[in-house]
Amino acid sequence: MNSQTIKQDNIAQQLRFLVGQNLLSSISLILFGVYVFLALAGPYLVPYDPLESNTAIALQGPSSQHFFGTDHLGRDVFSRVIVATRLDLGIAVAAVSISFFIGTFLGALAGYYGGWYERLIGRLADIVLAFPLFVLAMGIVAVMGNSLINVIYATAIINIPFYIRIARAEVSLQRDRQYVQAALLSGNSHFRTLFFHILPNCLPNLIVQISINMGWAILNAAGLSFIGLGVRPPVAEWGILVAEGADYIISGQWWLVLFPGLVLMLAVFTFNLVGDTLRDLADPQKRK
Amino acid sequence: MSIKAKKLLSVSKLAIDFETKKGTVRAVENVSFDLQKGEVLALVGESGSGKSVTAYSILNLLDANGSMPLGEIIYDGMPIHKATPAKLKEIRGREISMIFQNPMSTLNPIRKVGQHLRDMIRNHGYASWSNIEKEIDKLLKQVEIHDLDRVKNAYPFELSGGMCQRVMIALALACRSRLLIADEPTTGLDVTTQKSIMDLIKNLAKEEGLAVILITHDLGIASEYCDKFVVMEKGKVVESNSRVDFFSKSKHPYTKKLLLATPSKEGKVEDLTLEKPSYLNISEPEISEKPLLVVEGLRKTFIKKTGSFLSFVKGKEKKEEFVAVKESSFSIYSGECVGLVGGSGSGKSTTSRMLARLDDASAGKIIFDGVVISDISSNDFIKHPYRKDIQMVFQDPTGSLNPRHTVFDLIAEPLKRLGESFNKNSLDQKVESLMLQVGLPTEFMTRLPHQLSGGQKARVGIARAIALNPKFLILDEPTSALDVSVQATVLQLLEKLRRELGLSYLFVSHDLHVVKMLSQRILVMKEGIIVEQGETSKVMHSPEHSYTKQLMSSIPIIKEKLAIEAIAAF
Amino acid sequence: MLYDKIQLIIKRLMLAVPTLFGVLVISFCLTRALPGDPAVYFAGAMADEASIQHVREKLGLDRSLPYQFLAYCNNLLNGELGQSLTTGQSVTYEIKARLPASLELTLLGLFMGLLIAIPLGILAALKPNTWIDHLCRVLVTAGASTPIFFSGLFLMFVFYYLLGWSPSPIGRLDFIYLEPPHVTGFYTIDALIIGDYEVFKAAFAQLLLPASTLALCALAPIARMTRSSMITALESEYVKAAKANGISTNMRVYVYALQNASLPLLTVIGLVFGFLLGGNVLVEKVYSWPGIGSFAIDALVASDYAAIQGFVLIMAVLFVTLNLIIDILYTLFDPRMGRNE
Repeated sequence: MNSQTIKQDNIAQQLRFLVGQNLLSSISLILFGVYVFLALAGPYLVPYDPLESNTAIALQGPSSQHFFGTDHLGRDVFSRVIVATRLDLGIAVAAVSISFFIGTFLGALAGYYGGWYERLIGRLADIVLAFPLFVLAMGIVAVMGNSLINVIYATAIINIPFYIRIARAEVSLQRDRQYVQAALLSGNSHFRTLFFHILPNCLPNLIVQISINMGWAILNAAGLSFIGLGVRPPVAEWGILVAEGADYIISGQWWLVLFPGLVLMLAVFTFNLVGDTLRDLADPQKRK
Repeated sequence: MSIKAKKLLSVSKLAIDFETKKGTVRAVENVSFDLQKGEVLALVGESGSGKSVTAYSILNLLDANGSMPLGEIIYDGMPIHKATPAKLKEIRGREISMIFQNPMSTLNPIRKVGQHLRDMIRNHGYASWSNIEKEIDKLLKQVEIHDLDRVKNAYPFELSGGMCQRVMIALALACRSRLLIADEPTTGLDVTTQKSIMDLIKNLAKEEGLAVILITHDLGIASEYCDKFVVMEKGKVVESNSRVDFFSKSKHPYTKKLLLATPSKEGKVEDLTLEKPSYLNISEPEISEKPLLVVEGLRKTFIKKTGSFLSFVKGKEKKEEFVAVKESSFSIYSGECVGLVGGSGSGKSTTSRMLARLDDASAGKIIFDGVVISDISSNDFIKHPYRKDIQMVFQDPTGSLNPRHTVFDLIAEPLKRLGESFNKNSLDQKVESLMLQVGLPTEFMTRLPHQLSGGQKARVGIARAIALNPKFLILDEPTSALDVSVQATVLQLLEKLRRELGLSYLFVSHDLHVVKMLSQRILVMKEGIIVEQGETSKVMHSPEHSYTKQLMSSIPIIKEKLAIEAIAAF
Repeated sequence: MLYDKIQLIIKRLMLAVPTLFGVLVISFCLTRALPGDPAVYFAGAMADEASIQHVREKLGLDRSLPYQFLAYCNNLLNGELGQSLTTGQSVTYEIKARLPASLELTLLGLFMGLLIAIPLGILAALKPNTWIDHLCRVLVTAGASTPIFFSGLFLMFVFYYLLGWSPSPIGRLDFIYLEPPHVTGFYTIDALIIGDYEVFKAAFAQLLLPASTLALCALAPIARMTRSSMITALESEYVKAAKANGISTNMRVYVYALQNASLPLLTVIGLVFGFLLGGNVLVEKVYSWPGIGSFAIDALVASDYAAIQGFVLIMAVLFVTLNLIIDILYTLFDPRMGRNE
């Protein structure tokens, strides 16, 4: 019980310290909160139905009625951008959780037991990483079928190797530390030692990876839907919104691309900065 | 030349500040000493004493947040504490040089040794193109390197630590520096290598008139090689004496504490502190008739696959057997402490891991309490009833404690896993009594390892090891990461516990003088073989094997025995 | 020493074999995991029953999986990747014709990225925690966060629509110019070979925007790695020791530190190349660039499986080759390689 409160105290203190130190970190944490809020409550907040078209007001620039303007069918871009938050973050969260659990499990076992098993897992990760990842994701979705769930699977598969590598490296580093031997001497089984003693000590770096991966996953999913894979119109999704606006950029209707693009970029930016902040928290030495 | 030699370096009333997030911190205050040509000065102190910072400030190598607000440093009549960057660049390497701990990492890993020397000489414009190679050869010979071509064309990682340190010294000598600052130059090196490096430095001082500042935590080394002693504690100089006066007239209690705590040839563990420890009135535990642990022909080999990839394809892959431990046999009786001494790579750690049943032996038997436990694989031994009888205290007090567990969690862990079923209350009580037994205040129960000092961490490790009332405890260099004064108290604690609980120890260490204080018998190990074993007094006074003799002669110790007794008597 | 290095390089080459094998297996799986009957897809939309049967036999779809795999490898060895539905040409032909366009774009993008990112990273490492470092951090993070299709469209809007500096952002060359004769397939280089500076300028102008888009995406990881490995090197003990020995600042920074820092940088360049190969697809769509990326997108829309698989395989082979080259360079540059394995 006591240990728990001390730890939390520490993290809270460190957090306060970091926020005081670095303006960017605090901005990123606020933005993170905003995105989570939008993902949860977005659909109840928007002024218009994101799917309701009205050709009479098509392609109008930003105004007090339509903050982000309207698209070629007269739909309210603002509402569509906000509503899309849940879908985009949802895809990323689902994909990253899958890759985190599978990758960490495989990587931790590889790092702990070593030997042929480690080589096999390492090889598998290498083979996946031998593909340019976005290209592999395209191939997977193309073959498994053009659907949302397959976009999630593809995004998960291409991220698994990173968790394998980090978990393997971290665990094999920790495995040589003496507290691991002490745990074994205290009667912990290898399984228990790995998952209850070693893994918690690897968690900080894994969490940093999760945050950075969230950014990648969002980019990846948006990229796939930009080229017509996964989510399909008329569903509102950031990548699709940009793709729909792309045809109008040369004729000067910039708002169709700018607003969804900016919101998407800001989301990724937020996750990257949160990742940086967490990295500082996990290892203050790394960024002096 | 006047009779009174001119001062080469004079530091007076130096203070060093560091800007930190919590404001300015004064790391060093009121430090003064001076040094003449050919003199070796020891700057002695334990971790955090400010000795390294002081040395770095001489060459103005402080980190960007450090500054010298007070005092002056005069080198050869020149005030170098306020020298311009250009002036400093000239002084560094040409007038004053520095060598560091970890010689391997102080050389650029992707530059050959020859290139390092060439960089150095050219940078200071010392030799012309034509004679530069000759100059380099001369330097290497000066530091007693003789296979010149190999060393010149070697990358640092291809050389041993001792060799790298010689190269560092050659770099320091390259431009005829007159002052050498040596920051723990032999920490991490083997005792025999340590001796040869220190002999070299001492020689250079004597023959070439090089002045040396030796920064060290080890009074043994200092007493063996230095002419002048400056002792620092918490950023202040507490003692500054010439060699003659240092051992007889040192007054400061801290100096006395250090002098006492430094292991010596004859010293006993109870003499390490001024106050006599309380365990002296506990009688020696009875030593059993039958041995508790018998080791017969223990062997450990690692198979290394070598040879090129092509030979693998051809099926001619060489499998090289690396023998870590060769047919060792010995026994340990209950109630006694047996010391296991050897240099790095001698196989002493592998032996202790096998005895702790963390590793399986390749051959041989380990018989514990009449049962052959070497037949049980290390995996199965986790659940074996003997698991709780054999425990271990680790070398690295920080690394051996899980950084996320509190002191309570750490000590309770073996009790929860292997102990009889405890309820919450009795577990609390048990942990509390263990903490008291090892001298830890019970309010530390909720602390995390990083909130403890080195000595406290070591105590937690010991409490954890004795929690299950083991019969046999393996002490794997339990004090080598600790400051000497802390080492003294931890050694006394271990002695107390052995007497109180009738424990048997296998005390593994590289330091013969530490081991001999606790042990009744000593095993000396070299390259996987036990080359000598016997009663402590016999091994210490009439060693038979040449390796034992070599070990004894290379460990620097304080020879001024009388003086220590005088202090102890005080 | 030299013998050691050659052995190591052979070892690296051998190690690439299982990776390539794995790549083949995965791309084989991609061809066989198709919903329904692969033969129908590979024969094409116009195929009748007889030609489907012909394809089925040719692919060995009626035989065991290992046999099918061997047949697949055999086809690859003969350079056969199947027929493309959309263009009617063989996939091999299409890829051969379009690959130079993609490579020209990707390599220029990578080069521009390196040119900007490395000095930026060094600058940030030399002055950590100053405004320049913070600016570098923000720029780099922003670069890493920008979706490549968004930055592409943004650049297009600014430099074509608003400023009018860029030529019409469609294709490799404005239609008023003639393609230079095919030598390398890189228009800029081919134009230089025949000495036609007009065409060179036109081709380069077309390249500039899409390549900058890729460079923006490459910036972040390279600058970040340069910064961190430079800081590690600058704070290392050997640099500190060199300072104590009076080695000059320039020597310390640009020889001692940079040499050591360039090794991890080499690895990152491989990684970034992988990024760019993926990002290429998006840039080609935005700029209607006639490379293999836009070929793949057309194939996706038309469910042209043979084309997609050919594309994925070629990209992987390219990437593996580049990483192999980097590994070999690393082996040559780092004296420590192969010693403590």
